[in-house]
Amino acid sequence: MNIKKTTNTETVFFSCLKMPLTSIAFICVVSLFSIASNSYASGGGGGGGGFSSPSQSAPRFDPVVKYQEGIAALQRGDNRTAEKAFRKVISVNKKHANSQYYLGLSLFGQEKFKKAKRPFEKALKYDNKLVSAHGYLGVVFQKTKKFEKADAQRQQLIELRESCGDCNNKVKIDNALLQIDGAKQQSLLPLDVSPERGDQLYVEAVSHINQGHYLAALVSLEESASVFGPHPDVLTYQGFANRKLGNKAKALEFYQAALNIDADHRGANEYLGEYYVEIGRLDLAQYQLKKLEKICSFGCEQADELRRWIAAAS
Amino acid sequence: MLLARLTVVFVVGSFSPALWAEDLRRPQELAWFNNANAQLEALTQRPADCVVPLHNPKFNLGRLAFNSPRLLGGQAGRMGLSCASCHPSGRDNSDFFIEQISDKPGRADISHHFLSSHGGDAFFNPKPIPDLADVDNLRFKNRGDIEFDQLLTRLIEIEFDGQAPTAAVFYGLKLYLTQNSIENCQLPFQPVSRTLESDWLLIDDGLAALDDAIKAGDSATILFVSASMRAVLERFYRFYSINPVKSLDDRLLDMSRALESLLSNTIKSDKTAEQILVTLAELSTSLGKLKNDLRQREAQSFYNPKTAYDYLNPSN
Repeated sequence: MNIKKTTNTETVFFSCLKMPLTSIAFICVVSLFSIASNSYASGGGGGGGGFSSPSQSAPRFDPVVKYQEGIAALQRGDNRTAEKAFRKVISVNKKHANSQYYLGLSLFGQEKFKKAKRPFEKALKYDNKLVSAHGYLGVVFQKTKKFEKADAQRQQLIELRESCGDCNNKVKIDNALLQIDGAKQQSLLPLDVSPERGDQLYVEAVSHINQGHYLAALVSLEESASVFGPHPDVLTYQGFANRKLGNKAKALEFYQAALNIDADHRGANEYLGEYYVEIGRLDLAQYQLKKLEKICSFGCEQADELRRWIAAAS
Repeated sequence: MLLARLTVVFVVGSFSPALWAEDLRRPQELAWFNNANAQLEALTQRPADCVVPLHNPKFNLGRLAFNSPRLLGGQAGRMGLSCASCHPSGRDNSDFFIEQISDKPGRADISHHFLSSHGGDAFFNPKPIPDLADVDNLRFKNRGDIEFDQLLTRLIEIEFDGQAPTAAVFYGLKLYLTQNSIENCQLPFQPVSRTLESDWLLIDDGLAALDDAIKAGDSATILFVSASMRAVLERFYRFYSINPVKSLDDRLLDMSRALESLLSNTIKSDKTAEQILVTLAELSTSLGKLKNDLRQREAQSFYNPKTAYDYLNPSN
């Protein structure tokens, strides 16, 4: 039939439909898919699926539930329960700096100083700017009489203070330094960990992303992650912001961490597909699209957007 | 409800994907209100319709587009929001509330950077959601003005990050909005029941719009209509999730796939418009049968106020 072509993206999409089945069959002939009725899943934010905020979808994800269980246990001083909870989170996502930090705190709270050292070190390996972890690691070294190592932590904090100028962390850094010197007891939970605060930070982060302010977005996302733990919505946008900043390897790690927790996460699958388009792996991008089309049995914005990306690159 | 689910997770001591798989299927509307009463009203009621329908498939297309999450992009599209989410029946929504976008129910900041990648502002300035039928209180009384076209374009493409609608979709939207006036409404401020029948109107709209677009050879509009009809089918899938019946679920999914197939067939060069219209007629018959079967189970769905109430108030 005679086809009228209305917009560029749609034209490209229809061109795709005319391509040989061998090349991109799975994009074009969705009707061939065998989609079991129970394969339908909503997915999460980081690009959607009906939830407007991470707190609404948080209870779906075991690591997020465990993380919040751990935070609640720390708040009531139940360090053993907190330790168990954070160990479970870390078993799913060992690179989650805040989870490592809070595991360290729960061990510290039980006066298991030697055991606390490793999670504090890991927290700093994954996020060297986690000021409180420097402070506690310094104290651990003091308590285990490793004074040179305590000094090294002190030095790193001083360097952080010098590089940050008038940044918001300055007071926190000074407190951590005083803590290492034994002059000040740090609060176990220095951050506001309410879900409302986490949602607010998440919305802030997405707003930053929409304006192209990716560094600012990462700061908000890191704080949001400290509230929710390894929430796939947050991890997805950490990947997205890193990708936009050119940190492709880091972006991939975040996407994979999100998909490790929720394999059907719409946003993570979409953005991973876009990542593959960017690195020229259209075959893998098309695999992601096929997966999204299976997840979104009734269609979804995430699949539409990835389809546009692939069509534009083809 | 959320707390109840959390408690179950904690008591059981392990994560239960099945438990949350159920909740994943719930109507998306539940996320746009901050209390059970408002959720119940959204599921089972709608404002009185003040639209005078036209016997014109472009009008059907416009009404479908107004209710379609596929018209919008960005966060709104990802959340499943459509124009009708804030303006059910083309009216207002005094209960609509999304955390961080609303300061109180019935208000929203649609220029928030959260929603728009290129049209937002730096201020949190929620405004009351207007009644689109209350023409005298709107900025644009004459919907034939060029300024109205610009407003519509801005809303879709800038504020809500949508793709540029096809000319037919744009014209249809204007036609639908032009027919929406409080003067046409017999019971302007009384809600009426939301039912399978009232939501199914959008499927009928889609069929009329598809017929028109196929005859016109307008493939981009066919793409939009079939995607929008699939979104309506998803709504039924969610509304019937409270007491799911596998055979109905399967047929809803089959219909979704059939619409996708129709799209594929449309662009095959060896298919004439007449041949595609035959397929559409078969699809229409299947949809009619599905509607009858859904009607049999309507009392067990979220359309039934008692069923919805019991779900939203589990402790009562």
